[in-house]
Amino acid sequence: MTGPVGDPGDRGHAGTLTVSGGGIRVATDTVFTEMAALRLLQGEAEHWQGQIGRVRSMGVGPAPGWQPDDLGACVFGASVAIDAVADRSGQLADALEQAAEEYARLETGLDVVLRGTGAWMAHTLGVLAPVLALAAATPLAYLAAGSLLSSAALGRTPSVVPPWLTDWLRENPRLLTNPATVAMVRALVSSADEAVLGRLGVPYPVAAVMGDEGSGLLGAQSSAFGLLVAARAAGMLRESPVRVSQVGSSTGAAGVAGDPARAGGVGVRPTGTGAAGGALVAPPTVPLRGPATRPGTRLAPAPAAGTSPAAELAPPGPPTGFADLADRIPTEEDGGQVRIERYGDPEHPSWLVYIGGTVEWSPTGSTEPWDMASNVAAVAGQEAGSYRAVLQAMQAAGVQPGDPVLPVAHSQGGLIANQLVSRGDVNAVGMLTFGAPETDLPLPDGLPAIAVEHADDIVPALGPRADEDQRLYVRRELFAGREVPAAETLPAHQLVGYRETARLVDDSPEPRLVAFRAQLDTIVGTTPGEQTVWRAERVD
Amino acid sequence: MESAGGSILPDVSGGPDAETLARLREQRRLLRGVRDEVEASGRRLAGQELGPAWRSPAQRAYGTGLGELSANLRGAWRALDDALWAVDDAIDRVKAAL
Repeated sequence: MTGPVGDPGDRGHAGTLTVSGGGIRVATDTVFTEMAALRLLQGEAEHWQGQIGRVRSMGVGPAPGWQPDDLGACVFGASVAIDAVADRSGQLADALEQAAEEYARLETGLDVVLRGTGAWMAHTLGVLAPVLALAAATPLAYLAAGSLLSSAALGRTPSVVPPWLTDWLRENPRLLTNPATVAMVRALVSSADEAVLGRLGVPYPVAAVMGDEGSGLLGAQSSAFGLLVAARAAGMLRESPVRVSQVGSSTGAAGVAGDPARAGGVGVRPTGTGAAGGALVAPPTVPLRGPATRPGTRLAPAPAAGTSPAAELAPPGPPTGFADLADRIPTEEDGGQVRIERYGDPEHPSWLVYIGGTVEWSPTGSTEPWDMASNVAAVAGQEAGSYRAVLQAMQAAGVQPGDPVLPVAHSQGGLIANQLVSRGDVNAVGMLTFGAPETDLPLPDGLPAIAVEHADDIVPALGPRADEDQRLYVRRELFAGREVPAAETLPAHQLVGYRETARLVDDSPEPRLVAFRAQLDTIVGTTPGEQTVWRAERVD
Repeated sequence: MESAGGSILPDVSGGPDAETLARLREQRRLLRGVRDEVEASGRRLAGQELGPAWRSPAQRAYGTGLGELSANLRGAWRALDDALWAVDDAIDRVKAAL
């Protein structure tokens, strides 16, 4: 079901949301608005019948004696009409609900067909052409996107994508910002293994069983891991230790985390940051899992040597919805990649951890941990530099094992958030991501997890999807009926667009989105909290 | 009694009195509240105009259903308004008989 698109000139509240996943229903927010209005009317009609019953109980005379204009006859007529209102509004709401369920079945069927077709096409390509490189479809796509962004934004020469392709894609911005392209990429990403197996001469039925479409023996994670090893041998996508510094605070304290002298406090293990030179990091750096801290035993964030002056920030008010959450995800303008907010009293705090998206798109590396090395490492299931940086920032901010944590993230930050939650490194009470690459990482049962994606944003399609996924996907085509900005690379992936979409999500009456907002209220309470902003850098 | 309340006041055997008047006024209050709520809901429903994307036969059928629902609401409003008129009339007659 396609909802109305807005006036091209109105970027405020144009567009329609589609909500899917969680194994329940798929529908646009238009449908949910209609459904909610009809259910409201049905409830009102039932209330009116109660009021009419009270009028009758006071006496309206016996029916045989009614004249057309008598109170009894009029009340009876009103009662019949109100009954009809209740019945019809209920029937219409039921019909919308049924349509949403049918739509979900249709979407699932189409998805299966698309993925199956993608697997077959990939296998055929593997047989017919030397396309072994498709084995790395997911990380290669990252590299391609990164090269495009770096060439567009920084004027660098692309190192992965041929210049003619870069120029052509730049001249045709609609190609990469197109739901059809996104669907095709999603199918190809999930079919990389079929291409390899086809190239190796494995018949399609066997390849289908062995690849993502079948048993899942192979997948994007293993492809990314293979690329990571190869790239590091060539001096690219190298990991390194990271250091985290506080660059902003509403409490005035500043600190640095990530050096061995900082080792202290809850959950600290050996930092494991000796990954310089390309070794893959295995253990978590600062895991926050473990038994909850008993009241009165909380440790204050340890002060660190080499503190640097931090900008003074205002105490944050409790976020009230998706728009507030999206607005607080840090960008380069904030000076850091992680914002951490604390609500509640010191002995029973709740934490909101905002994680930004990729900053450095070049595969050759820099001091920026939010880079392509971290992107590919995260897809490969490894602990990326950015992942370790987030754990260190949380540690330095005072997050204790068992504390309720709600990660809110954009793009690469979404990969990190999924890893944090899936590994149990934090006591997650929910998760919200914007434009994050999809992932097949399992989540704790019943965890409210919402993934906001633009249907014309190619980045979410770059990750693998699980067959059984409890995440609730909220999708919107950002540039439906609108001109795609030619000056921006991957404009549908930019945080500014997701912030606009978050405002639409706040207006949605979809029950699970409403429930998420209600849960947010209980997490953050009503009084202002404290916030810190953290900047991480690689310290090769 | 017949002249005072007709079929509206069948249970009043002792003639119209203050208690009857109070009961009629309570009925009027209840009916007016329901009528006003029905009116507000009708306005709200009328505001839910279907956009240009509602084009398929199923969507048009849904639109027809909404139209019928609006008609039901209008019917309820008219019946309630008539009931209010009847109660007002009864109140006037009771007052005149007191």
